[in-house]
Amino acid sequence: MPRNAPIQLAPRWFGPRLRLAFAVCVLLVLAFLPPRWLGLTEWMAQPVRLAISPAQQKLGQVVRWARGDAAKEKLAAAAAPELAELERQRNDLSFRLLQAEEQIKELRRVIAEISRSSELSPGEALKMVPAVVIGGPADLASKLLTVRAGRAQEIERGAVAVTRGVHLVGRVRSVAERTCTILPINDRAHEPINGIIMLDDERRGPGCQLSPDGKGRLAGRVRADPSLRDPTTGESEPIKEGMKVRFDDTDNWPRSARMLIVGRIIAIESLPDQPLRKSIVVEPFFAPDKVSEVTLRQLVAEGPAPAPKPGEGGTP
Amino acid sequence: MSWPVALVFGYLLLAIELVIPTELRVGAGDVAPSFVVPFVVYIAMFAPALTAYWSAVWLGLAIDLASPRGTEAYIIVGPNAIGLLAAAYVIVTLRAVVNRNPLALVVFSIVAAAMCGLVVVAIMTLRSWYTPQIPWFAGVELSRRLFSSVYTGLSAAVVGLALFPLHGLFKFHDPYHRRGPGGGSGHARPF
Repeated sequence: MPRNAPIQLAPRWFGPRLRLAFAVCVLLVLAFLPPRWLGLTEWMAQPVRLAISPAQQKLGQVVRWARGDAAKEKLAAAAAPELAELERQRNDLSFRLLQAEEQIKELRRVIAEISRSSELSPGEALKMVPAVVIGGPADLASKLLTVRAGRAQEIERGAVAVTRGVHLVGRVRSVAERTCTILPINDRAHEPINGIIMLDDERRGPGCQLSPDGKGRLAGRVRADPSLRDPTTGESEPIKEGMKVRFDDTDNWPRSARMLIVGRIIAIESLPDQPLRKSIVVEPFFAPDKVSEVTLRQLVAEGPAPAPKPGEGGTP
Repeated sequence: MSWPVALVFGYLLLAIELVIPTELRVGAGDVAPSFVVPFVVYIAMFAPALTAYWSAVWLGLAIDLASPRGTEAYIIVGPNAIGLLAAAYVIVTLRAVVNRNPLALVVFSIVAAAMCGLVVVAIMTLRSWYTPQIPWFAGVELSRRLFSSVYTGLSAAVVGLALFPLHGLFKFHDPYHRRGPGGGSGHARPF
């Protein structure tokens, strides 16, 4: 063999064109893998995500700076810091009040269950993990977000992602070691969610079922609620554009997600076949694909109280 | 072709692909330009055919691996890799009959993005028959991708402005240039 001959890794018959044809066959097989085998491709994605996320995150920061989001926030905070703080506190207190009311309802249900000798559900605590948004997918057919928090931060599938404390972003669908993927509520793949229209900050209106409309918003029918009708006139308070819609889904979501803000109503239409019934279009206050940071909320089951460390505390 | 140089540019353009198209979206249908497609076209215009095909496969694979889909965040490996390979094949076939200049890059990028979009839509439509976890609207996606391919012409003009002055860095061996007995540069000339 000549000294300068390249090292032959593949057999002679497996030439470059055959190698390409083989690669295409492998890609075709992978492209049509049945869903239950798609876990195989997840391990291939991890190194690529880890390699690309620093550049993607830095570029995202530059874009947000260029878009002026950070500057606008700083300007608003500098112009009226007390007002911004009061607004934040008001949103937070309003959310807590509504959630407390929900908890009272829930406790009443639990008491009723205890009285029927049913089993008491174990205690639950909420864990909040702030996470920086790395970015969206390369293919815009989907709106899934990748954020910098994963198994290392004890994030689990199903955690709820919010922004600005109370604005619902979506739910964690897959978790890697240092990143996780969030399916935003306005992604086409998201299943319908139940919401409740707020007549004002505290009064609840009718419920609604909202589905993503493919344009970054959610749309759906308003449920008729006879209990909201005025007993004297028989009419219920009309819903208006600008009203807030809060999350009210208890089937597949944790209770802690109830009363988070979904968005505001931007359009109301009568259903063509049922003119007395309305459909609404809801737009999130903060578009999930433009948020820079989220907080991941997840329930953690409370274990037994930790044992005191040796030489620490204890009864004399 | 110099693979390390292509790797650096590919990495940068992939990062751009993950951030900038979201900002440049037009309308409610998410019509957005691609920055990786013009790069694949650029390589397909100047590199030997096999090098162009492999570049397209690797870049497409990177896009696929950076695109979780559906309610379960599935990673579908293949649609973009095969799509970009098909696009590179079209460009390698066409490059002999067109003068290779920045304007050709713009036109080729529109053709390549449309070709890639067609292949991706075909694969994902077939997949959607047995993968309900990934909602797929073939008509909507096809129109979005075809409009996006026209928009990609604009991004190709920008990418071309950056890539053509750096042509020497890539050390392309012109597939249509035959070395004479006295040797030659062996590098393709962009104009």
